[in-house]
Amino acid sequence: MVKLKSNDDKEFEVEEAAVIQSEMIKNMIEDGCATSVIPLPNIDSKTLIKVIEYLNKHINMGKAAETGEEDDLKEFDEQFVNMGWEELFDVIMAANYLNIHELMELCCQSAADRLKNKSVRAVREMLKITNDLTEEEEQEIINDAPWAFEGPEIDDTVN
Amino acid sequence: MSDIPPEVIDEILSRLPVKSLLRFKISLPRVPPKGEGKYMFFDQICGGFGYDSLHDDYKVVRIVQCVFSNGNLLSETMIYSLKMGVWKDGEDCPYWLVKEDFGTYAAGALYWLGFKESHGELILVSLDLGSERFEQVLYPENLGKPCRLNLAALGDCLCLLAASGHVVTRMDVKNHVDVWVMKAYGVEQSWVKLFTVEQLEGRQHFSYMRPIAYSMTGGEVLLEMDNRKFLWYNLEKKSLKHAKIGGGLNSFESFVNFGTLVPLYGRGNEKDSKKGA
Repeated sequence: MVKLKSNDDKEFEVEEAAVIQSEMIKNMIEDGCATSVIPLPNIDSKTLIKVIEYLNKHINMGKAAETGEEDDLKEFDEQFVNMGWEELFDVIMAANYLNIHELMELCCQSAADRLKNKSVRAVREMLKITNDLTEEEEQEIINDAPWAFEGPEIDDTVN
Repeated sequence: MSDIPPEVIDEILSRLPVKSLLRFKISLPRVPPKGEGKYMFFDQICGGFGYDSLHDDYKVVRIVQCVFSNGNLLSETMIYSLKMGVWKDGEDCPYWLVKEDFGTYAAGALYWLGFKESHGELILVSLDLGSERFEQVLYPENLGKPCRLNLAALGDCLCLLAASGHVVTRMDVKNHVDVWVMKAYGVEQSWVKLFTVEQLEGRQHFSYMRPIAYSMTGGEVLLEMDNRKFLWYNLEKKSLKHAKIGGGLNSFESFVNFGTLVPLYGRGNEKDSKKGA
Protein backbone atom coordinates (compact mmCIF):
# COMPACT_ATOMS: atom_id res chain seq x y z
CA MET A 1 0.00 0.00 0.00
CA VAL A 2 1.05 3.56 -0.71
CA LYS A 3 0.02 6.49 1.45
CA LEU A 4 -0.97 9.79 -0.17
CA LYS A 5 -1.53 13.04 1.74
CA SER A 6 -3.71 15.85 0.39
CA ASN A 7 -2.98 19.54 0.98
CA ASP A 8 -5.60 19.63 3.73
CA ASP A 9 -3.66 16.93 5.64
CA LYS A 10 -5.88 13.94 4.97
CA GLU A 11 -4.15 10.61 4.36
CA PHE A 12 -5.32 7.96 1.91
CA GLU A 13 -4.07 4.42 1.43
CA VAL A 14 -4.03 3.17 -2.13
CA GLU A 15 -2.89 -0.15 -3.59
CA GLU A 16 0.43 0.15 -5.34
CA ALA A 17 -0.99 -1.52 -8.48
CA ALA A 18 -3.59 1.28 -8.68
CA VAL A 19 -1.40 4.21 -7.81
CA ILE A 20 1.33 3.41 -10.34
CA GLN A 21 -1.05 4.52 -13.09
CA SER A 22 0.37 7.86 -12.05
CA GLU A 23 3.69 8.18 -13.86
CA MET A 24 4.88 10.58 -11.22
CA ILE A 25 4.27 8.25 -8.29
CA LYS A 26 5.51 5.26 -10.28
CA ASN A 27 8.81 7.05 -10.77
CA MET A 28 8.96 7.96 -7.10
CA ILE A 29 8.42 4.34 -6.10
CA GLU A 30 11.02 3.10 -8.57
CA ASP A 31 13.51 5.64 -7.24
CA GLY A 32 12.78 4.54 -3.68
CA CYS A 33 11.37 7.93 -2.67
CA ALA A 34 7.99 6.61 -1.58
CA THR A 35 8.87 4.85 1.64
CA SER A 36 6.55 6.88 3.85
CA VAL A 37 3.67 9.22 3.06
CA ILE A 38 3.70 11.03 -0.29
CA PRO A 39 2.56 14.63 0.20
CA LEU A 40 0.53 16.15 -2.64
CA PRO A 41 0.59 19.91 -1.99
CA ASN A 42 -1.44 20.75 -5.10
CA ILE A 43 -4.40 18.47 -4.51
CA ASP A 44 -7.19 18.81 -1.97
CA SER A 45 -8.86 15.80 -0.39
CA LYS A 46 -12.11 16.20 -2.35
CA THR A 47 -10.23 15.99 -5.65
CA LEU A 48 -7.92 13.25 -4.42
CA ILE A 49 -10.91 11.07 -3.52
CA LYS A 50 -12.17 11.41 -7.10
CA VAL A 51 -8.76 10.54 -8.51
CA ILE A 52 -8.39 7.48 -6.26
CA GLU A 53 -11.88 6.35 -7.21
CA TYR A 54 -10.77 6.47 -10.83
CA LEU A 55 -7.47 4.70 -10.18
CA ASN A 56 -9.17 1.87 -8.30
CA LYS A 57 -11.73 1.34 -11.01
CA HIS A 58 -9.11 1.34 -13.73
CA ILE A 59 -6.65 -0.84 -11.83
CA ASN A 60 -6.85 -3.72 -14.25
CA MET A 61 -7.51 -2.09 -17.57
CA GLY A 62 -5.94 -4.97 -19.49
CA LYS A 63 -8.00 -7.60 -17.70
CA ALA A 64 -11.20 -5.66 -18.20
CA ALA A 65 -10.79 -5.87 -21.94
CA GLU A 66 -10.39 -9.65 -21.77
CA THR A 67 -13.35 -10.35 -19.53
CA GLY A 68 -15.81 -8.12 -21.34
CA GLU A 69 -15.96 -5.52 -18.58
CA GLU A 70 -15.01 -2.85 -21.07
CA ASP A 71 -18.57 -1.56 -21.37
CA ASP A 72 -18.73 -1.37 -17.61
CA LEU A 73 -15.61 0.80 -17.56
CA LYS A 74 -16.96 3.01 -20.32
CA GLU A 75 -20.11 3.57 -18.33
CA PHE A 76 -18.03 4.38 -15.27
CA ASP A 77 -16.02 6.93 -17.26
CA GLU A 78 -19.18 8.59 -18.54
CA GLN A 79 -20.52 8.87 -15.02
CA PHE A 80 -17.16 9.94 -13.67
CA VAL A 81 -16.91 13.10 -15.79
CA ASN A 82 -20.47 14.05 -14.97
CA MET A 83 -19.34 16.80 -12.60
CA GLY A 84 -19.21 20.56 -12.40
CA TRP A 85 -16.80 22.64 -14.52
CA GLU A 86 -14.63 23.76 -11.59
CA GLU A 87 -14.53 20.26 -10.16
CA LEU A 88 -13.57 18.87 -13.58
CA PHE A 89 -10.72 21.34 -13.75
CA ASP A 90 -9.48 20.38 -10.32
CA VAL A 91 -9.32 16.77 -11.52
CA ILE A 92 -7.56 17.80 -14.76
CA MET A 93 -4.97 19.74 -12.78
CA ALA A 94 -4.45 16.76 -10.47
CA ALA A 95 -4.18 14.35 -13.40
CA ASN A 96 -1.70 16.70 -15.04
CA TYR A 97 0.38 16.96 -11.87
CA LEU A 98 0.30 13.23 -11.14
CA ASN A 99 0.76 12.45 -14.84
CA ILE A 100 -2.12 10.00 -15.22
CA HIS A 101 -2.45 9.77 -18.96
CA GLU A 102 -5.85 8.07 -19.30
CA LEU A 103 -7.53 10.31 -16.75
CA MET A 104 -6.11 13.40 -18.45
CA GLU A 105 -7.42 12.13 -21.76
CA LEU A 106 -10.91 11.51 -20.37
CA CYS A 107 -11.30 14.83 -18.56
CA CYS A 108 -9.79 17.00 -21.31
CA GLN A 109 -12.16 15.44 -23.83
CA SER A 110 -15.06 16.25 -21.54
CA ALA A 111 -13.82 19.83 -21.17
CA ALA A 112 -13.43 20.13 -24.95
CA ASP A 113 -16.96 18.82 -25.51
CA ARG A 114 -18.30 21.48 -23.19
CA LEU A 115 -16.29 24.28 -24.82
CA LYS A 116 -17.29 23.31 -28.33
CA ASN A 117 -19.54 25.88 -30.03
CA LYS A 118 -19.51 28.21 -27.04
CA SER A 119 -19.39 31.93 -27.67
CA VAL A 120 -16.17 33.89 -27.41
CA ARG A 121 -17.28 35.43 -24.15
CA ALA A 122 -18.18 32.07 -22.64
CA VAL A 123 -14.82 30.59 -23.62
CA ARG A 124 -12.96 33.48 -22.04
CA GLU A 125 -14.86 33.07 -18.84
CA MET A 126 -14.51 29.29 -18.76
CA LEU A 127 -10.75 29.34 -19.37
CA LYS A 128 -10.21 32.42 -17.21
CA ILE A 129 -8.75 34.44 -20.04
CA THR A 130 -8.59 38.20 -19.76
CA ASN A 131 -9.67 40.02 -22.88
CA ASP A 132 -6.67 42.03 -24.11
CA LEU A 133 -8.38 43.56 -27.13
CA THR A 134 -9.48 47.16 -27.18
CA GLU A 135 -13.12 47.87 -27.99
CA GLU A 136 -12.22 48.97 -31.53
CA GLU A 137 -10.11 45.89 -32.17
CA GLU A 138 -12.88 43.65 -30.92
CA GLN A 139 -15.45 45.42 -33.07
CA GLU A 140 -13.22 44.94 -36.10
CA ILE A 141 -13.06 41.20 -35.46
CA ILE A 142 -16.81 41.04 -34.92
CA ASN A 143 -17.27 42.66 -38.32
CA ASP A 144 -14.79 40.28 -39.96
CA ALA A 145 -16.01 37.10 -38.34
CA PRO A 146 -19.49 37.57 -36.91
CA TRP A 147 -20.03 33.80 -36.78
CA ALA A 148 -17.37 33.50 -34.10
CA PHE A 149 -19.42 35.59 -31.72
CA GLU A 150 -22.54 33.55 -32.13
CA GLY A 151 -23.18 30.42 -30.13
CA PRO A 152 -24.46 29.55 -26.71
CA GLU A 153 -23.34 31.44 -23.66
CA ILE A 154 -22.48 29.59 -20.50
CA ASP A 155 -25.07 26.91 -19.81
CA ASP A 156 -25.63 23.98 -17.49
CA THR A 157 -22.69 22.01 -18.93
CA VAL A 158 -20.47 24.48 -17.15
CA ASN A 159 -21.88 24.41 -13.68
CA MET B 1 -10.32 27.15 -9.50
CA SER B 2 -6.74 28.18 -9.89
CA ASP B 3 -5.14 29.57 -13.04
CA ILE B 4 -4.95 27.08 -15.86
CA PRO B 5 -1.46 26.43 -17.19
CA PRO B 6 -1.04 26.78 -20.99
CA GLU B 7 -0.08 23.12 -21.48
CA VAL B 8 -3.39 22.06 -19.95
CA ILE B 9 -5.30 24.44 -22.23
CA ASP B 10 -3.34 22.92 -25.13
CA GLU B 11 -4.48 19.45 -24.10
CA ILE B 12 -8.09 20.56 -24.18
CA LEU B 13 -7.94 22.62 -27.35
CA SER B 14 -6.21 19.87 -29.31
CA ARG B 15 -9.42 17.86 -28.94
CA LEU B 16 -11.61 20.45 -30.64
CA PRO B 17 -12.57 20.78 -34.30
CA VAL B 18 -10.92 23.50 -36.36
CA LYS B 19 -13.96 25.76 -36.50
CA SER B 20 -14.13 25.95 -32.73
CA LEU B 21 -10.41 26.67 -32.64
CA LEU B 22 -10.66 29.54 -35.08
CA ARG B 23 -13.39 30.97 -32.95
CA PHE B 24 -11.28 30.52 -29.82
CA LYS B 25 -8.30 32.17 -31.38
CA ILE B 26 -10.34 35.34 -31.16
CA SER B 27 -10.98 34.80 -27.48
CA LEU B 28 -7.35 34.14 -26.70
CA PRO B 29 -4.68 36.75 -26.15
CA ARG B 30 -2.80 37.56 -29.30
CA VAL B 31 0.35 35.64 -30.12
CA PRO B 32 3.45 37.52 -31.15
CA PRO B 33 4.76 35.94 -34.36
CA LYS B 34 7.32 33.21 -33.67
CA GLY B 35 6.88 34.01 -29.99
CA GLU B 36 7.48 31.50 -27.28
CA GLY B 37 4.42 29.26 -27.64
CA LYS B 38 2.85 30.55 -24.48
CA TYR B 39 -0.59 30.68 -25.96
CA MET B 40 -1.51 27.51 -27.71
CA PHE B 41 -1.25 27.78 -31.42
CA PHE B 42 -0.56 29.37 -34.72
CA ASP B 43 -2.97 28.94 -37.56
CA GLN B 44 -2.97 29.55 -41.25
CA ILE B 45 -5.13 29.12 -44.28
CA CYS B 46 -3.69 27.89 -47.57
CA GLY B 47 -5.59 27.53 -50.78
CA GLY B 48 -5.38 26.50 -54.37
CA PHE B 49 -7.24 26.23 -57.62
CA GLY B 50 -6.83 23.94 -60.59
CA TYR B 51 -8.19 21.54 -63.18
CA ASP B 52 -8.95 17.89 -62.44
CA SER B 53 -8.67 16.08 -65.78
CA LEU B 54 -9.88 12.79 -64.30
CA HIS B 55 -13.34 14.21 -63.64
CA ASP B 56 -13.18 17.13 -66.08
CA ASP B 57 -13.77 19.49 -63.18
CA TYR B 58 -12.25 22.62 -61.69
CA LYS B 59 -11.55 22.55 -57.97
CA VAL B 60 -10.90 25.10 -55.26
CA VAL B 61 -8.99 23.86 -52.22
CA ARG B 62 -8.92 25.39 -48.76
CA ILE B 63 -6.65 24.07 -46.03
CA VAL B 64 -6.88 25.34 -42.46
CA GLN B 65 -4.02 24.38 -40.18
CA CYS B 66 -3.38 24.89 -36.48
CA VAL B 67 -0.24 23.98 -34.59
CA PHE B 68 -0.15 23.65 -30.85
CA SER B 69 2.81 24.50 -28.70
CA ASN B 70 3.14 20.77 -27.93
CA GLY B 71 3.76 20.23 -31.65
CA ASN B 72 0.42 18.63 -32.51
CA LEU B 73 -0.89 19.54 -35.94
CA LEU B 74 -4.55 19.92 -36.72
CA SER B 75 -5.48 20.23 -40.35
CA GLU B 76 -8.75 20.46 -42.22
CA THR B 77 -9.17 20.33 -45.99
CA MET B 78 -12.23 21.46 -47.91
CA ILE B 79 -12.54 21.00 -51.65
CA TYR B 80 -15.04 22.82 -53.83
CA SER B 81 -16.09 21.23 -57.10
CA LEU B 82 -17.24 23.71 -59.74
CA LYS B 83 -19.07 20.93 -61.50
CA MET B 84 -21.06 19.89 -58.45
CA GLY B 85 -21.24 23.35 -56.96
CA VAL B 86 -20.55 22.05 -53.44
CA TRP B 87 -17.86 22.06 -50.79
CA LYS B 88 -16.91 18.71 -49.34
CA ASP B 89 -14.41 17.44 -46.79
CA GLY B 90 -11.07 16.40 -48.19
CA GLU B 91 -8.28 14.32 -46.77
CA ASP B 92 -6.58 16.02 -43.85
CA CYS B 93 -3.18 17.25 -44.91
CA PRO B 94 -0.61 15.40 -42.79
CA TYR B 95 2.05 18.05 -43.41
CA TRP B 96 2.49 21.57 -42.13
CA LEU B 97 2.47 23.70 -45.26
CA VAL B 98 4.70 26.70 -45.58
CA LYS B 99 2.27 29.52 -45.90
CA GLU B 100 1.61 30.69 -49.38
CA ASP B 101 -1.75 32.10 -50.30
CA PHE B 102 -2.07 29.72 -53.18
CA GLY B 103 -0.44 26.43 -53.97
CA THR B 104 1.36 26.09 -57.29
CA TYR B 105 -0.75 24.36 -59.91
CA ALA B 106 0.80 22.14 -62.55
CA ALA B 107 -0.61 19.23 -64.57
CA GLY B 108 -3.57 18.25 -62.43
CA ALA B 109 -2.00 18.76 -59.01
CA LEU B 110 -1.35 21.51 -56.49
CA TYR B 111 2.04 21.79 -54.83
CA TRP B 112 3.31 23.33 -51.63
CA LEU B 113 6.50 23.19 -49.65
CA GLY B 114 5.98 21.91 -46.15
CA PHE B 115 7.24 20.02 -43.15
CA LYS B 116 6.63 16.47 -42.04
CA GLU B 117 7.77 17.11 -38.50
CA SER B 118 8.16 20.33 -36.61
CA HIS B 119 11.96 20.18 -36.82
CA GLY B 120 12.21 18.24 -40.05
CA GLU B 121 13.43 19.23 -43.46
CA LEU B 122 11.41 21.12 -46.01
CA ILE B 123 9.60 18.68 -48.29
CA LEU B 124 7.56 18.94 -51.47
CA VAL B 125 3.88 18.13 -50.96
CA SER B 126 1.39 17.48 -53.74
CA LEU B 127 -2.37 17.27 -53.80
CA ASP B 128 -3.60 15.33 -56.83
CA LEU B 129 -6.88 17.02 -57.79
CA GLY B 130 -8.19 13.76 -59.28
CA SER B 131 -7.57 11.41 -56.36
CA GLU B 132 -7.67 14.30 -53.85
CA ARG B 133 -4.81 12.75 -51.91
CA PHE B 134 -1.77 14.43 -50.37
CA GLU B 135 1.62 12.94 -51.10
CA GLN B 136 5.22 13.77 -50.57
CA VAL B 137 7.05 14.17 -53.89
CA LEU B 138 10.76 13.44 -53.85
CA TYR B 139 13.26 16.08 -54.90
CA PRO B 140 15.68 15.50 -57.79
CA GLU B 141 18.37 13.06 -56.67
CA ASN B 142 21.25 15.46 -57.27
CA LEU B 143 19.57 18.59 -55.98
CA GLY B 144 22.51 19.35 -53.73
CA LYS B 145 22.05 21.53 -50.68
CA PRO B 146 20.19 24.64 -51.77
CA CYS B 147 19.79 27.46 -49.27
CA ARG B 148 16.35 28.35 -50.53
CA LEU B 149 13.57 26.55 -52.40
CA ASN B 150 10.65 27.98 -54.33
CA LEU B 151 8.00 26.57 -56.61
CA ALA B 152 6.73 27.79 -59.95
CA ALA B 153 4.90 26.41 -62.96
CA LEU B 154 6.43 26.43 -66.43
CA GLY B 155 4.56 25.10 -69.44
CA ASP B 156 2.52 22.32 -67.89
CA CYS B 157 5.23 21.24 -65.49
CA LEU B 158 6.16 21.95 -61.91
CA CYS B 159 9.39 23.91 -61.44
CA LEU B 160 11.60 23.71 -58.42
CA LEU B 161 13.78 26.78 -57.97
CA ALA B 162 16.82 25.93 -55.91
CA ALA B 163 18.96 28.88 -54.87
CA SER B 164 22.50 28.13 -53.74
CA GLY B 165 24.97 30.38 -52.06
CA HIS B 166 28.41 29.24 -53.16
CA VAL B 167 31.12 31.84 -53.44
CA VAL B 168 33.26 31.33 -56.53
CA THR B 169 35.79 34.10 -56.26
CA ARG B 170 37.36 33.89 -59.71
CA MET B 171 34.12 34.48 -61.55
CA ASP B 172 32.67 36.55 -58.78
CA VAL B 173 29.53 34.43 -58.82
CA LYS B 174 27.96 34.78 -55.46
CA ASN B 175 24.80 32.96 -56.05
CA HIS B 176 22.89 30.94 -58.55
CA VAL B 177 19.43 29.49 -59.01
CA ASP B 178 18.91 26.06 -60.56
CA VAL B 179 15.62 25.63 -62.37
CA TRP B 180 14.46 22.01 -62.15
CA VAL B 181 11.44 20.76 -64.09
CA MET B 182 9.42 17.66 -63.27
CA LYS B 183 8.46 16.12 -66.60
CA ALA B 184 6.14 13.41 -65.23
CA TYR B 185 3.86 13.83 -62.23
CA GLY B 186 5.39 12.50 -59.03
CA VAL B 187 8.19 10.62 -60.79
CA GLU B 188 11.48 11.30 -59.06
CA GLN B 189 13.52 10.23 -62.12
CA SER B 190 11.69 12.73 -64.33
CA TRP B 191 13.33 15.80 -62.78
CA VAL B 192 15.48 17.62 -65.31
CA LYS B 193 17.70 20.57 -64.60
CA LEU B 194 16.53 22.98 -67.29
CA PHE B 195 19.00 25.79 -66.72
CA THR B 196 20.87 27.79 -64.13
CA VAL B 197 20.76 31.54 -63.66
CA GLU B 198 23.89 32.91 -62.12
CA GLN B 199 23.85 35.94 -60.00
CA LEU B 200 26.51 38.46 -60.91
CA GLU B 201 27.63 41.19 -58.58
CA GLY B 202 26.23 44.56 -59.58
CA ARG B 203 25.11 44.03 -63.12
CA GLN B 204 22.65 41.25 -62.56
CA HIS B 205 21.73 41.08 -58.96
CA PHE B 206 18.46 39.68 -57.73
CA SER B 207 16.98 38.27 -54.60
CA TYR B 208 14.07 36.51 -56.23
CA MET B 209 13.63 35.01 -59.66
CA ARG B 210 10.98 32.82 -61.25
CA PRO B 211 10.25 31.49 -64.71
CA ILE B 212 6.98 32.64 -66.29
CA ALA B 213 6.61 30.96 -69.67
CA TYR B 214 8.35 29.53 -72.73
CA SER B 215 8.66 31.64 -75.85
CA MET B 216 6.55 30.66 -78.88
CA THR B 217 9.49 28.71 -80.34
CA GLY B 218 10.27 27.05 -77.02
CA GLY B 219 13.89 28.17 -77.26
CA GLU B 220 13.63 30.86 -74.61
CA VAL B 221 12.13 31.20 -71.15
CA LEU B 222 10.70 34.44 -69.83
CA LEU B 223 11.94 35.19 -66.30
CA GLU B 224 10.73 37.67 -63.76
CA MET B 225 13.19 39.17 -61.29
CA ASP B 226 12.33 40.89 -58.04
CA ASN B 227 8.95 42.06 -59.36
CA ARG B 228 10.91 44.68 -61.28
CA LYS B 229 12.02 43.30 -64.61
CA PHE B 230 11.52 40.62 -67.22
CA LEU B 231 14.37 38.77 -68.90
CA TRP B 232 14.60 36.21 -71.67
CA TYR B 233 16.80 33.19 -71.01
CA ASN B 234 18.04 31.54 -74.18
CA LEU B 235 18.21 27.79 -73.51
CA GLU B 236 20.66 27.07 -76.34
CA LYS B 237 23.07 29.97 -75.88
CA LYS B 238 22.58 29.96 -72.09
CA SER B 239 22.40 33.74 -72.18
CA LEU B 240 20.13 36.39 -70.73
CA LYS B 241 18.73 39.51 -72.31
CA HIS B 242 16.34 42.12 -71.05
CA ALA B 243 12.76 41.94 -72.20
CA LYS B 244 11.32 45.36 -72.74
CA ILE B 245 7.84 46.09 -71.55
CA GLY B 246 6.05 49.32 -72.14
CA GLY B 247 4.47 51.40 -69.43
CA GLY B 248 7.55 52.01 -67.31
CA LEU B 249 6.36 50.20 -64.23
CA ASN B 250 8.58 50.29 -61.18
CA SER B 251 7.15 47.23 -59.60
CA PHE B 252 4.59 44.68 -60.72
CA GLU B 253 3.21 41.24 -60.24
CA SER B 254 2.71 38.86 -63.12
CA PHE B 255 0.24 36.03 -63.67
CA VAL B 256 0.01 33.54 -66.47
CA ASN B 257 -3.38 33.83 -68.09
CA PHE B 258 -5.06 31.64 -70.66
CA GLY B 259 -7.73 33.34 -72.71
CA THR B 260 -10.83 31.20 -73.02
CA LEU B 261 -14.46 31.71 -73.93
CA VAL B 262 -15.55 28.60 -72.03
CA PRO B 263 -17.27 29.61 -68.80
CA LEU B 264 -15.82 27.96 -65.69
CA TYR B 265 -19.01 27.44 -63.81
CA GLY B 266 -20.69 24.10 -64.25
CA ARG B 267 -24.17 22.94 -63.49
CA GLY B 268 -24.38 24.89 -60.25
CA ASN B 269 -25.64 28.44 -60.08
CA GLU B 270 -22.26 30.07 -59.63
CA LYS B 271 -21.74 33.53 -60.86
CA ASP B 272 -18.65 34.30 -62.89
CA SER B 273 -15.66 32.71 -61.28
CA LYS B 274 -13.20 35.34 -60.21
CA LYS B 275 -10.31 33.03 -60.84
CA GLY B 276 -10.54 32.85 -64.61
CA ALA B 277 -7.72 30.32 -65.14
